[in-house]
Amino acid sequence: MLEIRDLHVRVDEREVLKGIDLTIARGEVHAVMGPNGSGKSTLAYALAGRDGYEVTGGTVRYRGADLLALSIEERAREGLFLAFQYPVEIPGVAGTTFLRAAVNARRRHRGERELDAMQFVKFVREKQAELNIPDDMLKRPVNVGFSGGEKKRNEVFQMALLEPTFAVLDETDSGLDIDALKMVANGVNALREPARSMLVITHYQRLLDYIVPDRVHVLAHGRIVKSGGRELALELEREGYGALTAAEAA
Amino acid sequence: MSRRIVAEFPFVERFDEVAAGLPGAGLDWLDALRRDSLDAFNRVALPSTRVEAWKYTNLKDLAKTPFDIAASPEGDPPFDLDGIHAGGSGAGRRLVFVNGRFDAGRSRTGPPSEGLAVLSLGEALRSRARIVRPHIERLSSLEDEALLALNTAFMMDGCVIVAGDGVTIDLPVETVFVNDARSPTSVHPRNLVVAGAGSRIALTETHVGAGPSEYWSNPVTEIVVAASASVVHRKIQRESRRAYHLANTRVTLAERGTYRAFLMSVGAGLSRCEIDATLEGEGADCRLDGAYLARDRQHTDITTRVTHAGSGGSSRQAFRGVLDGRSRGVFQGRVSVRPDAQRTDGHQLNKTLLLSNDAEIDTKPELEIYADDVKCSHGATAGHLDELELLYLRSRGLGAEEARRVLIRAFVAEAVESVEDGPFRDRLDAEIDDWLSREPPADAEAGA
Ligand SMILES: Nc1ncnc2c1ncn2[C@@H]1O[C@H](COP(=O)(O)OP(=O)(O)OP(=O)(O)O)[C@@H](O)[C@H]1O
Ligand SMILES: [Mg+2]
Repeated sequence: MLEIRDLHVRVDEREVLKGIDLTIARGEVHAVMGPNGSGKSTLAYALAGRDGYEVTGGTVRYRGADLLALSIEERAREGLFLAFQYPVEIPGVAGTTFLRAAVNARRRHRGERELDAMQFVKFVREKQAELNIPDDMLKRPVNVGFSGGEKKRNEVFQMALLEPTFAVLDETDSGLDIDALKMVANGVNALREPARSMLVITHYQRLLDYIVPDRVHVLAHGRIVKSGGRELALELEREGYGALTAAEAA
Repeated sequence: MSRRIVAEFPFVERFDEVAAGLPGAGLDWLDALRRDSLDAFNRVALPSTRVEAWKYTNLKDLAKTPFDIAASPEGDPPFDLDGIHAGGSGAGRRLVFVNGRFDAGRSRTGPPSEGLAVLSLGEALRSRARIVRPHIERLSSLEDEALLALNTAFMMDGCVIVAGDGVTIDLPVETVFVNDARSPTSVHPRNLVVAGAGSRIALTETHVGAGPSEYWSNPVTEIVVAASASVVHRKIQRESRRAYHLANTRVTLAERGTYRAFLMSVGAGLSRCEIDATLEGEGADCRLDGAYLARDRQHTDITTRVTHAGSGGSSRQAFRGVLDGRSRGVFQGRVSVRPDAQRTDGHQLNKTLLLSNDAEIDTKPELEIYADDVKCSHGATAGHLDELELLYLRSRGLGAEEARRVLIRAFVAEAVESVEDGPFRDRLDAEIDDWLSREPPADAEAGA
């Protein structure tokens, strides 16, 4: 599904990712953990294609093709989805307008008929209930004035609507209360299926109780310093990153 | 450099001949007023950029153009005039002026109505000179205003609305000013709106233009709002890109009178829309909103002056602009609070979205406050499209161009939101969409 080889990324003249190797097979969920500033979001943005995240070396193959050759929107239409660590507020753009444009962009790309306003309302209703997204939230401008938890729920809601093939969730659990965390985890689990893979970035092993990963990777100083099964997350929780990053530095 | 630009316009030099063919010719008071105004114009001349209020808008190219007075149009104007209506069923009153002349055939002044007169200035000068004369004379005494003086000297047809006390007009009166310029010509439309005590009036002004030549539109609109009357005034400036559009709107408000204006400026090579409102009575309320969209080398200037003379008045202004290419925007907003105008509330906001590094906005807010119990504020921002917002939209599959358009639209939409009239808001939306979808034309422009 996704194959990252020796990926180097520079941001603002600074090399932040210094050779990432990561392969995620079809249907797998991988977790990436790591200290603040280690480059987790940089990896997420580089995969999404954000301007200014300059790939200076390495390759990323996505479903057999060169992901890095695609524009941001082409990646999205090909089924790549990024749930932002900090979802962006867009004043003046109503949630429904935005979501319908997004859903229809994807449908056009697949050669499907676009949904009109009425059809769209029907289409979203079911997913709204699952993630407790009230109508009012969709009428408001995208993310504007949403609480931290509402923003994160809104990200998962978008993911559910866009039905991505590969989803990157960047700290989608941060700032959520227990109930919201369960709701988000259920939303994500509902999307787990053999044809869909995910990269879940998190600081907390707690999330991984709900979304059980196939593999866990530790990112530090722009490199993956350790990979293992889900027990690695428990080990990190007990011992912190100290030992690992020290070993790396040595 | 002098404070004045001396221009030799053919129509000014041929004053006697031209004036003989203008509305109201032969009325002694008006003939005299036109002549005095001509003298005033010749004395003060056009302002140069040395005049503080004209620092950012340069009339030197206009002054070099050999403008004559606009001739009657030949054939039909190249517009679908039915597409320009005030909204609703399009059944309201409509006055169409082509090249400064009233076009009765395309107009609908509506059935006579108790206490209400909606007619052309030419007709008003014939049948209601007693009502219009004092207003025209009063405004024309503002001598150091060259463009006002010039308009008075060459005053062409325009719309007159006189509403008696307590009269309400249900549908807005639509005025359409069409310019079809085959050679460098000028038009000087003059409008007058007198809203009697407690009356409620809405009018819409649309300026459109075409034709192969440069032209100059110099309209003046006077609005008198009596006690507790309400006037809603909306304008779309969509002149040809070869046009100079220099408009003056003068408003006076008596106690508890309200004036709401919305201005959309998208056309012309060089435009300046001046709105001057004086809140004379106690508790008057004035709201000026608008949007300007410009690209290439367009120059768009919005200059407002709000004077609080009566106490307890409130004024709000919010203008938003989008500038692309090498265009330039100017927003000058002055709020003056006279010593007696206690408990004044005056707010002003100007936001500009710059789509290119070559576009420029000059914002000059001015507060002159001589009363002490006053709440006044102003704010201005200018910025580019937000990279993260673009990323967010594109990461959901919207194309780069679509994402840009969505954000530009959203930015302008916040200005348009204040317009309560749905059909007119639809027209504004259509203007914005049209602007967003239009490729910049390669032809020459006025003021370029
Ligand atoms: N736009 C930028 N300009 C300059 N430096 C940046 C930029 N974006 C990221 N960096 C730097 O790159 C490094 C990695 O940042 P990144 O956001 O990827 O970390 P992270 O692992 O996601 O951290 P956190 O756990 O706090 O979210 C940091 O040192 C950060 O300061
Ligand atoms: Mg991060």
